[in-house]
Amino acid sequence: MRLRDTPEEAAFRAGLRAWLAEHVPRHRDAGAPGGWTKALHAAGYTGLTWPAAYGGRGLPPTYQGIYAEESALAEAPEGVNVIGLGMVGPTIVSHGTPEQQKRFLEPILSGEYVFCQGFSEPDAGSDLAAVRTRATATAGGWRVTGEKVWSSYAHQADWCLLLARTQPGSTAHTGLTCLLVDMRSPGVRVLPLRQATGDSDFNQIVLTDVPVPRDCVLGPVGEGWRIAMTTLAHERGTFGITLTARLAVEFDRLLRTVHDLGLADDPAVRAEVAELHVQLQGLRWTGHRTMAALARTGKPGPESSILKLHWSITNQRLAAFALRLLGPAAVLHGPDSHAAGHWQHLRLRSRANSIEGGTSEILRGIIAERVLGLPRTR
Amino acid sequence: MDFALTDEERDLSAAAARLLADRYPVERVAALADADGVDPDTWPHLRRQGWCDPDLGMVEKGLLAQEGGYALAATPWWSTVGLAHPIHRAAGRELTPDPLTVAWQDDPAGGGCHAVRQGGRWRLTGLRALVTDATSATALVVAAGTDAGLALFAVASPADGLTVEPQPTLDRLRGAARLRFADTPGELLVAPDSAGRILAQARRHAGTLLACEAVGVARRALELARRHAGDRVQFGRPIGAYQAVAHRLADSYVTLELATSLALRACWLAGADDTEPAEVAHAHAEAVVAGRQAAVRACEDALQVTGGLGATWEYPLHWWYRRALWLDSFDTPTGGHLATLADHLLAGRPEPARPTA
Ligand SMILES: Cc1cc2nc3c(=O)[nH]c(=O)nc-3n(C[C@H](O)[C@H](O)[C@H](O)COP(=O)(O)OP(=O)(O)OC[C@H]3O[C@@H](n4cnc5c(N)ncnc54)[C@H](O)[C@@H]3O)c2cc1C
Repeated sequence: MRLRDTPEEAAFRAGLRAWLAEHVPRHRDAGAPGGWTKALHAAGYTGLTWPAAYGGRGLPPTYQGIYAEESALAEAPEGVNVIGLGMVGPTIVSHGTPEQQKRFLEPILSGEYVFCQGFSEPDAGSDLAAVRTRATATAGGWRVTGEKVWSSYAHQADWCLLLARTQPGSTAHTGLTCLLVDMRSPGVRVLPLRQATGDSDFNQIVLTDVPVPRDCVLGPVGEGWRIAMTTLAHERGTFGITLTARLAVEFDRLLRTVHDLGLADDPAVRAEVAELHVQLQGLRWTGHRTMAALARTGKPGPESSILKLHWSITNQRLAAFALRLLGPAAVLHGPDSHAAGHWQHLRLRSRANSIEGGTSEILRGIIAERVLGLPRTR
Repeated sequence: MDFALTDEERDLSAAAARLLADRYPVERVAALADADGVDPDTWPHLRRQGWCDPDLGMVEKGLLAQEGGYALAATPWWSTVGLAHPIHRAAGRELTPDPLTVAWQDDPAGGGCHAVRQGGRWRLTGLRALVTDATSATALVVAAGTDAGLALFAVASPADGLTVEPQPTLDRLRGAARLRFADTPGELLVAPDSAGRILAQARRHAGTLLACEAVGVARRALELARRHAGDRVQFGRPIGAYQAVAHRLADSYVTLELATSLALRACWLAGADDTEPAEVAHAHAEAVVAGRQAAVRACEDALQVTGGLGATWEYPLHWWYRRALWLDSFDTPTGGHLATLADHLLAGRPEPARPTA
């Protein structure tokens, strides 16, 4: 066991931290989507763990962990990258044809292609296998019709990794296929969905007879479920580390709020701050253990569900506590409020934490069945 | 003892629910919140139905407040009847059905309000913040410092030297405003010798009604969640058939029922005349704490049960959640209410229990 960076890891971390300190402020309200990816790419920070043959640096997963941690601590505009660099790219590395790898990987690394993920549908949320969007075979490939919802960044994306039903009459996990859909194809309409916070960064995608050429099928036809699960597993890989580091940033902000409001001597406040710290530490060090397991086995196990689950609980608890600190002024929002409404926004936004990327009920089911080996409920 | 609503109380509740259901279908709630959160049209209907009737008992007002929370009625009724009327009554004024509000809170950024008497007339200068329903009110009650201590003044709105600046709020249906006074004419309502006590009583009266409103908010959130859990199918079954969903809603219901009991009890005690002041004060604190918990909890449970749908702006649940968060932080913090109860419970060392001879 070793709970410190190796000299190489430490050097990587220091270099990255210095680079982020210099570049993040300029990109924080990043203009063009993919702009941040381009900057990262120029500095050699994309595709850290991708094999060198695909333009990556072939580093062990610990480096991706360091990257995830440092970029979250620096509050880098990572959102869009999670999908292309974190999920779709690795899926193309594992399942793409050599032509697809040549065509997509370099543009994903360089930020030229921004990806979104089109999995969820109005009737297929937790039950993702209920996907109804259908792809019908044509002479040149497929024609796709259906509706996707809650697709983050679809309004900025060039491409979409889409899960569709290619076998008519099939149900559940069979007969599904993953497609790489050009968002500029005829028949693709993106309608912004506003979140309960008022932000609009997720969307509805309506597909009407959208042509998808045969060479844009990712993995074998009919094997879409397995491909989609690889994508989601990649999402869960280092994402726990990212989430924990973002929580650490909020925790520091919480400490500042406590001081700003003159509450640092209040015993009830002190107890809750210390309690939140213990939860955060638990998440941080479990994240490092998960990372080590990933480095050994190559794929994240169901244990990674506990990070997402407990992160959402802790983030929600922190947000509720922070807002309570504001007293009656918590009712304000906008310019008159403490920290320009940051805590009000987090309080509202954090409720979706236990929904997005798998609901807490579904995650508890995974832990109960796949980790604890309890009998299945369904 | 007979802790049940009378037939008249039930009828009053049902009639209020019908009126509000008619005035505030969900789409209208969302549209009002998306605009400026003010609905001037419903006030005459409330007046006609007797919502501002000076003879209403506290339990009746509590029932109306519950329906107001359930419907998320965008009216200044609570500010008028809950906050201002007790002060007007104490000052010996006739209660009129005009929208009113009370301004007593300091601006979070600092700065209070004071009044001076010049040539027999009072003038107010300074700031009051977080004033509810100030844009609808035609008259205000303002707490201002004088040489002899805090006093309560009547100020017309609009008035010379009065600026009403709306403050953006999390709950857009219960707007706040910052009031700036610059030599604004006012009329003394309650002199410093009793102003502190009268203001505290009014805040408690209003706070008890908010505990009732919280119960209404919780009831509506649970209702939305219950309906969704019955309709939404995933993995081939309505999600309400999964225990994780069903038990969450069952617990939410338990919290709601406990809060309902304490809110109604606090109303009854506040209106009864054979009570100890301490009993009323403690019942109030208990009702507020339980009501806030029920409202926040029911909304958060409902958000969880409605999944991605509940995370959208279009699904109206977040308007009730925003109200629950408003209720959770308006006026005395929950910690203050808990401290009141703890002070009482831990005052003096209890006598050791004596074995029966
Ligand atoms: C902010 C945000 C961003 C998102 N981004 C994306 C994206 O980029 N791409 C994408 O494809 N999707 C995205 N989603 C969608 C997300 O993955 C789904 O919302 C989520 O999987 C839940 O599905 P649902 O909303 O249909 O809820 P439902 O599945 O209808 O669930 C409703 C409730 O029922 C519970 N439930 C359902 N089944 C069971 C069961 N068997 N046992 C116990 N409880 C159960 C759930 O836990 C939940 O509490 C996003 C969602 C949000 C909120």
